[in-house]
Amino acid sequence: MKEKRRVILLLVKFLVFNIVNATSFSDLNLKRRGADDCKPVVVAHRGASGYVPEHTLGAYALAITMGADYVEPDLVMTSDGHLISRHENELGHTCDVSQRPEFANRYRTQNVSGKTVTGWFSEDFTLAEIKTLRATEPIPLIRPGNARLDKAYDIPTFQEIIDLVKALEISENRTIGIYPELKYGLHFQNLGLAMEPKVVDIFHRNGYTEKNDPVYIQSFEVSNLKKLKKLTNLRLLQLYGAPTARPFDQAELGTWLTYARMATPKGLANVAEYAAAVGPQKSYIIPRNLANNLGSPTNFVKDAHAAGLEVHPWTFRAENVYLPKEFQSNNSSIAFGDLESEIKAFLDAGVDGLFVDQPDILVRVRGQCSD
Amino acid sequence: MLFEWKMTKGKALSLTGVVVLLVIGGLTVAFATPITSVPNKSINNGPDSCSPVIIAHRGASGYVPEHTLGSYALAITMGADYVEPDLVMTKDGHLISRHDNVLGLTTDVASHPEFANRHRTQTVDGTEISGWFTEDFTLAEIKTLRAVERIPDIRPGNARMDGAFQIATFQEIIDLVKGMQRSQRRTIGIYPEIKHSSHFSNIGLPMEELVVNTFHANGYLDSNSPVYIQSFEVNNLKELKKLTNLRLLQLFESDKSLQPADQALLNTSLTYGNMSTPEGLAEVAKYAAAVGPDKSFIIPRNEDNTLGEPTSFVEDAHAVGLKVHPYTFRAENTYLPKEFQSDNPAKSASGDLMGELRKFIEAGIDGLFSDQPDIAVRLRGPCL
Repeated sequence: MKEKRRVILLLVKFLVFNIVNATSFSDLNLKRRGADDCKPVVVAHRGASGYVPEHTLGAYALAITMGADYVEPDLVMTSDGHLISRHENELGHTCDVSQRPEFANRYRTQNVSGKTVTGWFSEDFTLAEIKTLRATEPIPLIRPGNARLDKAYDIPTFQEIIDLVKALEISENRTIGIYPELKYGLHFQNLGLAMEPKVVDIFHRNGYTEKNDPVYIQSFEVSNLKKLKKLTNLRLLQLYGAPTARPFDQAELGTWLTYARMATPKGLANVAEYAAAVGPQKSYIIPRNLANNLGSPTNFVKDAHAAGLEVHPWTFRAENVYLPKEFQSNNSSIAFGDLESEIKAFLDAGVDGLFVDQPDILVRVRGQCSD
Repeated sequence: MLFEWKMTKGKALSLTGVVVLLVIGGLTVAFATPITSVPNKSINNGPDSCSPVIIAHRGASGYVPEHTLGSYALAITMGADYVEPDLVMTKDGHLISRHDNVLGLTTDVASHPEFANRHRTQTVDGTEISGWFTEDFTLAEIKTLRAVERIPDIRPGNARMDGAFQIATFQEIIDLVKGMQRSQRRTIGIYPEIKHSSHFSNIGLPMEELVVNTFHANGYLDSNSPVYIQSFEVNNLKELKKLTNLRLLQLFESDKSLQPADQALLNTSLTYGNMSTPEGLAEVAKYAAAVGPDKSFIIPRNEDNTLGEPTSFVEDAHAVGLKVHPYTFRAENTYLPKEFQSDNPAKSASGDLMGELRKFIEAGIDGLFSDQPDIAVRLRGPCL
């Protein structure tokens, strides 16, 4: 009798284990590739923004069909509290708002995270109004191929992006990660439009709750990441801007904490208390010299790894105008050069993932996944 | 002798345990099985609910190399009603999506030394062609190739994505569509063309049953399904009519003196010109739900490349109950009627495709094939 009961208990435990696995969002099928299974991790920067206007469902969908592990939406807020995906809260550069007479009177100047900015701001528009706008390519002279798709797309909400990812996971038969950046954290908090609790709430409601779920939440600020650490187990990533600059919240608080300080071994150890990874500009890892060639790798990756942090630098772009001189091709500045070689140099330096506008190129360099 | 069964505490516990196990087991299976609904075109937001129907020709091929999952996915996010894969066969009997059985036009096969010795010359539908042919490659071999842009001079923006995509199978396209229906919250149609039907039949790789069986196995069953199967040939469509209730579309070549390939092989006298008369269309209506003429059947071009006057084609087709879906609407100047071209002299420059579309919509078309489906979607506006 006792034997039988023990066997039944074991079977129940086994089945419950399977259900928990089946209902968490890490791999419905235990054999299905996860977003972190293949190294280095391919993060489609603003979607496949090298090919389609950034932060549109088309950009994210294309990135996923190209094999990207993560799609990377930047998030800002609307006046009625919705999270939408734009790189800036100033809308004029990435959509046709400037052509809309009905919104002409919303054009204004304000201070955003320490900078004076003039334009149309997401926080002055309801979601319904935002949805009447059409996305346009912000750098059409560099990416005329993208500008062909001007007005093809509207501005997506965070939930729409999650829905798209989940839909494409079905046909891709792999887990695809979502890697949002919270833009202007303190700015929106001061407006009563705090993003942090909203992002966490939406993630949790969609089943993304644990540290091994395919998520990173990024920020250039520090305080909001520390706050997020208390709100969720989802992984966080500390972004690094120019070394001499301070995160905006630190500047407002009057601390001395610059990005350079955060990049020392001690600084990285502090970051590791709340973040799982760091997202430095590429120059923290391999700076350019005066001739615009790649210089020598620094200690950054080694120091970050010693603190237990993954390293995901930004941004890798294929056009000559962005590449180190030695990898540029003989064509025009907007033609593609040898991004593969720049990627390889950074892989040799030990990075764990890369933000890239042309994710197909990184996928090709990475080759077959060694599980 | 009956076995006497008495409920004891132990037995009750065991029984509960078994029930719990069964329930949990059932739940595990249920959670592990993806739910894919049987597609139906007549849902309010189905692919036929908005007129004109917008068919993404080879996917959003105006923006991404044709017939790739990227091209189809982009088209769907742009709001296209249907994605349109052309189908050909591999050596081991798989349906893949390519416009031609000639691989060199749209893949990097020429840079694969392991396949160099498969380059050969043969006659396909009456034309002698030299190249690498899909029927000489297994699916596994095809999967080692990468798609490239067919017209890089006209679409350098697409050529940036050379090497990004593999060649997709028919099933992979169906899987993509079904998945994306969830996030798009609408039914998306699938509109395959069977390419070189007689050619493949004659080499022992017939396509029709395979296409039908694949559709049926995926829940696309009848004339209510969001499907059209197209062909430039005739008898295979008549055969398909017996195999399935899925809707069929008769394609018409631009040259009216041409014969469908199967008709030429059978030595009949049937030309596309014959098929486009009222009597010819009445015959087509016996097996097809729609016709896909080259645009010139509806509004031909003048000598100076401006649009001429609409013909009676649409009226005649409608009179026998046929929908009309002309091909192909493209935004680049080199394809547009003169009056809609822009001043930009670049080979890749676009003009006023909406202007051309308006003329054809005025002429009464029911649907249209376009390489840039977003432009047609924008012109059509919100669905009423």
